[in-house]
Formats: sequence, C-alpha cells, structure tokens
Amino acid sequence: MIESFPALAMLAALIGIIGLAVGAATASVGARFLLSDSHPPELRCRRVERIAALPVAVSLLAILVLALPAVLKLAGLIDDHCLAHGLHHPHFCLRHLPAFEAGPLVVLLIAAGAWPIAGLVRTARDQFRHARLANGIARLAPARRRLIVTDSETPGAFLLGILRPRIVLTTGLIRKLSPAERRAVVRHEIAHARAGDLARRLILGLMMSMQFPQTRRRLIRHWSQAAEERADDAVAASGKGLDLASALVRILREGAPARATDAYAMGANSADVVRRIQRLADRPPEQLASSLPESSLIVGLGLIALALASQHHALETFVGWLAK
Amino acid sequence: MSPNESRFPARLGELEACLLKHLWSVESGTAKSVHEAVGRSRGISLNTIQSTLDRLHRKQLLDREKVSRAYRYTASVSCGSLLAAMVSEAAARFSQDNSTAMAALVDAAEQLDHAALDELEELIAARRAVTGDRRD
Repeated sequence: MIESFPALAMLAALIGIIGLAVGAATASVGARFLLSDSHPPELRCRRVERIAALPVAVSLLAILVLALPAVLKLAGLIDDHCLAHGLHHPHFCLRHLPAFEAGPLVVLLIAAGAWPIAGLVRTARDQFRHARLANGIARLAPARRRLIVTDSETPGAFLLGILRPRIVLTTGLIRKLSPAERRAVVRHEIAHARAGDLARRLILGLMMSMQFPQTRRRLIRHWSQAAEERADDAVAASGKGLDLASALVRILREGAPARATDAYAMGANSADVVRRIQRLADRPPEQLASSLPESSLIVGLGLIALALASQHHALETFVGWLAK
Repeated sequence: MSPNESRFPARLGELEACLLKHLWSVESGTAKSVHEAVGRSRGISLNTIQSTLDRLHRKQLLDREKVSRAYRYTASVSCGSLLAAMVSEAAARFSQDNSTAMAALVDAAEQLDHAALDELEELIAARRAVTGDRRD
C-alpha cells in the first residue's frame, strides 16, 4: 500500500495523462474541421498553434480542476465532504490522503506516459543536436554576418539557428538567380526571422509529440504552408512578389522531372508551392475572415473545465477503478 | 578535401572554432605559437590549447607533423568546405524530421514537371506586363 503525497502525485499524473489523450482527440477533431486555406496566413499559424497546444492545455486543466476542491477545502471555502461521502474511491484531498495498491497504478502510469514522454525526448534530442550544429556553423561563419554562403550546386535558401537566425544561401542559388530574385529570397528569409518562425516551429514540434500521427502531419503541413505564405506576403508587400515567384520557379526547375505523368513528382507538396507562386503572381486570393472567432477555443476549454469540475467524483471513481 | 564529408564532426566547440580560424589565417602553428596568439589574451592555458589542437587532429580537421620536438599543425580542410559539409548535414537532418530549427525556402520534396513550371512562368510574365515590372 502507498499512501499520502506520492499517491496523490501519482493520481494527478494519471489524470494528466488522461487529459493529454482527451486533448489529443480534441486536437484531431480541430485539425480536421477548424483549418481552412482561405484564412489569412497569420491567423492560420496561430490557429494551428492553439490546436497543437490542446493536449497540454487540457492535461493541465484537468489537474487544476481536480486539485481545486482540495485547495478550497484547505482554505476553508468549501466543506470537507470526504468522510460524509465515504472512502470507497480515492479523494483528491490533502486531509484525507488517498491510499491504494501501488503496483497496477505504476504499471498504468509507465504504459500511458511512455508514448508522450518518448516523443518529447526524441524531439528535444533532435532539437539539441540541431542547435549544436547551428552553433558550430555560426562559430565558423564570419562574426556578425547574418548571411552565410555555402558551397553547394543545389539551389537552396534557409534559416538556421533559433536565437540568432542566420540566412544560408547556396552558391548554386546565387549563380542561378538574378540579383532581384536573390534579394527577394533574402527578404523572404528575413520575414521568417522577424516573425520568429524558428522558435514557433520549435515549440510546435514539442507540442506535436503529443498528437496522433495523422493530426501531426495535418497540423505541421498547414502551419508550414501558412508560414511560407506569410513570409511571401511580406515580400509582396514590398513590391517584390514577382521576383520571388520567378525565383521559386527557377529553383523548382532544377529538380523538375522530365515527364508530366511522374506520380512521385506530383506529390502532395506540389499543390502547396503552386499555390504560393499563384498567390505571388496573381492578385492574392480573397482572404476570408474566420467564421469562428478565436475566443471559441478558449470557451471550449472552459466548457471542458466545467464538465470536468462537475464530474469531479466520477473522475475520482474512475481513477480509483483504474488503480484497483 | 582529404577527409570524407560524412566524417566531419557535427559538433564544434567555441575554442575549437577559434583555433581553426586562427590556423586558417596563419596557415600553420605549434601549440606554443597558437597559445601566444589566441590563448594568452583569453586566459587559456597552454595545456588547454594543446589538448584542443589534439582533439581537432583526432576529428581530422588538422594535420600535424613533428618539427624538432613539437607538433606543427595545419588545417586539413578549408573553411568553405567544412561550412558546406556542416550546412549540408543540417539540411539532411531537416529533411528527415519535421521539427528541426530550419525553414527552407522550398521543401526538398516539392517537385513540378516542366509543363507546370512553364505555365507558372507565363503567369508571372503576364503579371509583369500588367504591372510594368521589369526583370533585371
């Protein structure tokens, strides 16, 4: 038998994990129905970020809602009803600490916690390795230079490093693009850096480790496309949109397959880059305001909290049953 | 470039980068001369310089030959090729996992056929004609 605070902490952890699963399920529904290509890019990015945060938010909310009665009881704001109610299930109470067999609960916690924790550890490890590499590159590059040119025939441009993002251009890109196109590409990367896209993507990556695989793909793809369009829009706003569009076409031409019927070549991503070029070359498509206000997500979370709070005893009974 | 690109280290410490940069600028040096030039002003001991040079040699970034009783170190790679190898490693990792700290202009997986690209180019040209924008 374990009792007292470790038992209480384990119950809280179990509730947290249940919250993660509920949040992940909610996020998969949100990713399916709340994302639309017709919204302005920044709104789309923010919406993805909010949906991505659902598992963590619901998990913390569930723990908070269950801990609230215990805190209110200690503060003397509500009556202590544990004894009147009976001790047939564990109570989230600091006066009547729960006591139960540890074995099954420990096994359950390890089994249920392994998935999100493994995902988090994997993402954090990748990020750490990448940051180390980015640091090494930054150290080799001339001091205070934000633009790094690297020797590669493949035309490429990207940002590297979260705290001090640097723009990396390949010599292949510089050779193949006109000066105006190069400037447009650099403007595009600067727009990413100004928006803090690398840091946002890092946080998004961590949140993704708690999503179902299909939701993860959907959210990341939607976010990436929206972030690219946002950076494209910044270039278009400075009047250089057409230069960026022709730069994109020129870069794509490098890797273009000879035949139109190549199934591999017409991957899911092709539609995304065509859309970007059309947005830049054409008048940008009409941007619809979202029919759903952003506050609805917060209201939704509030409703989940209320539902959890009203089911306080049901949750305690459920956890007691799981721990049996 | 003598060492294989894939054998380049993914990690380069601050002092390591500093010593490499110094050796690129002076072409060759002994632990003592490197310490005089780089270590002393930073309060770094000769021992630390020696072990860092040794580590860079083991990472195949420095060549060394014994001159009288001391090793003389020279960089075995150029700054450009080391930078290119590290950047391409970062790019390779980027294409593997979806959350690394890098934003590429165009996803490596994005490919279009020539006909589709011709169509897009025509669209851009038509737009340039309307706006009176000239390409340079």
